[in-house]
Amino acid sequence: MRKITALLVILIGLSGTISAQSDSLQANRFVTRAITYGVGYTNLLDTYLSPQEYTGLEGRVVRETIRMTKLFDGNVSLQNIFQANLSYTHNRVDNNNTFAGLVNWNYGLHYQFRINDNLKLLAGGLSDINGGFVYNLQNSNNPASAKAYANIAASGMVIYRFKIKNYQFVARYQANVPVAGVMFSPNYGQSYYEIFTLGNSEGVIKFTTLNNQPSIRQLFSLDFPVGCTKIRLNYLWDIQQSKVNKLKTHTYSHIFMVGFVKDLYIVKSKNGNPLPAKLRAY
Amino acid sequence: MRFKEHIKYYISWSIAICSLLFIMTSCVEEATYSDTPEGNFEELWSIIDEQYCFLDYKNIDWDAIHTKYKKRISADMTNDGLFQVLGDMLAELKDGHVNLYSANDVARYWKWYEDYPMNFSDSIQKNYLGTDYRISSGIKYKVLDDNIGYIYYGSFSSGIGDGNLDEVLSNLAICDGLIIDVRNNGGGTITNATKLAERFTNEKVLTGYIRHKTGIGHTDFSEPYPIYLEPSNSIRWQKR
Repeated sequence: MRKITALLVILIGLSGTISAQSDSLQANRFVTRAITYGVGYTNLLDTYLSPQEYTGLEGRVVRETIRMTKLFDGNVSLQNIFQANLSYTHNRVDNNNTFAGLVNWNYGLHYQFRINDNLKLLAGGLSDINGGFVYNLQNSNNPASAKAYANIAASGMVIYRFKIKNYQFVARYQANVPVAGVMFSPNYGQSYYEIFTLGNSEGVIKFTTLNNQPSIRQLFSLDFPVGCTKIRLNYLWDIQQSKVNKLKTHTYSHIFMVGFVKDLYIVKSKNGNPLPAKLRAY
Repeated sequence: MRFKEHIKYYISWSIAICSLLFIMTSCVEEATYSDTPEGNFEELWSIIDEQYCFLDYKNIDWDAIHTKYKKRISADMTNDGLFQVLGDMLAELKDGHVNLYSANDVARYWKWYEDYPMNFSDSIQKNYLGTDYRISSGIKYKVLDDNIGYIYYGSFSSGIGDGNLDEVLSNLAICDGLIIDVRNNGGGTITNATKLAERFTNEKVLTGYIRHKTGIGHTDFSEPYPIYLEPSNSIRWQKR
């Protein structure tokens, strides 16, 4: 925080072109961004392709930003999570393999209840947009299953700050639960040929709720300083399930991730020239 | 924090915790079978029982077949023995598209052509096709001596492009008639067959219906959905 303030003071001092009405530091322009990379274990089921569960390795990357907004007297934060994962799994007798991948975007707001200086509880909602695939290597002419679903998710977070010998640690637990949405699913025994080539798409978009999509994404993270940087350790417990059109799917993932956390400040753009020429890299 | 805010967040956290508990206890799973000869037998029998489309159409008593083949399953049978029994059970379906794969064999029901004499000989075909026929993607074609065009499409797994078909039909446009030979064609991709058929109609034609299973019951089917053949926008054969 001090380094960023110092940098800004230098910027303002060096510039001759920033007007006297240059921005004072606003809370809603500070962004905490973390990109974490990890691997873990996943268990997937997609009865459209096979009645068997497939388990194996999953790699995932999560990019998250969070910043305060001006809403409700500055008590609401905006969170943006983008994650992508790829997995390679095998059945229990290890004679067949399945690939799967998913891209997910969460974007939404939380109201922050500040209990005290160290503890915050956040409650809010996120949009939850997902796209991916499952590919079974031995399924001859029906190997692939496409995943496309979007929800509004309820989201809660606990953020706890504590010090160990002057080092600031931040622990966070977050749970996102999709409560209402839509999902693409072929009918029980329907081929993609019938849906996309012949055009019989009746019943392939279904509404989802907790009843037929009991899913939850849980994120446990710990931020701690190492020298001048901040490291984040994430444990992601991702439960994605659906029971739609008499087809059952689940993905249970346990992913351990690590990455860096950066605190950034968004400089206001004045006619596309936020920074003086000497400071611009681009 | 004010009293109202306390209430708000206690309520929201209660809802959150209840949802969490609900989700944790609502596992979406499929029944698993033991990896034993009995388990494998029951799982295969169930897969066919729930997903095979033609049990009623072919008047197959699948429950009776369960009783018949269960007797041949024992806990100490070998993998080869199990594969034989399961293959025999699937052969009751008399379906050339039902196969069981293992690392050393593929169980299949091919009696529908194995039990009959071959009616296609490429040696005989060579008499009229010769060696100077043209090849355009999956099609072999030639103008025969009596000015009849001959197209041989050996497998619908081989793709044909619209450009290829344009060239083929342009070449055969001088012919008085056309023979399209699909003997010994084991099938493949429907869209390839459709591409060829589209060249031989000037109007939309109803060619059949498609249904899919909507559940695990033997009679759980969707309403028949019509399949139409649309005329191609490119070169179409016009001679009768």
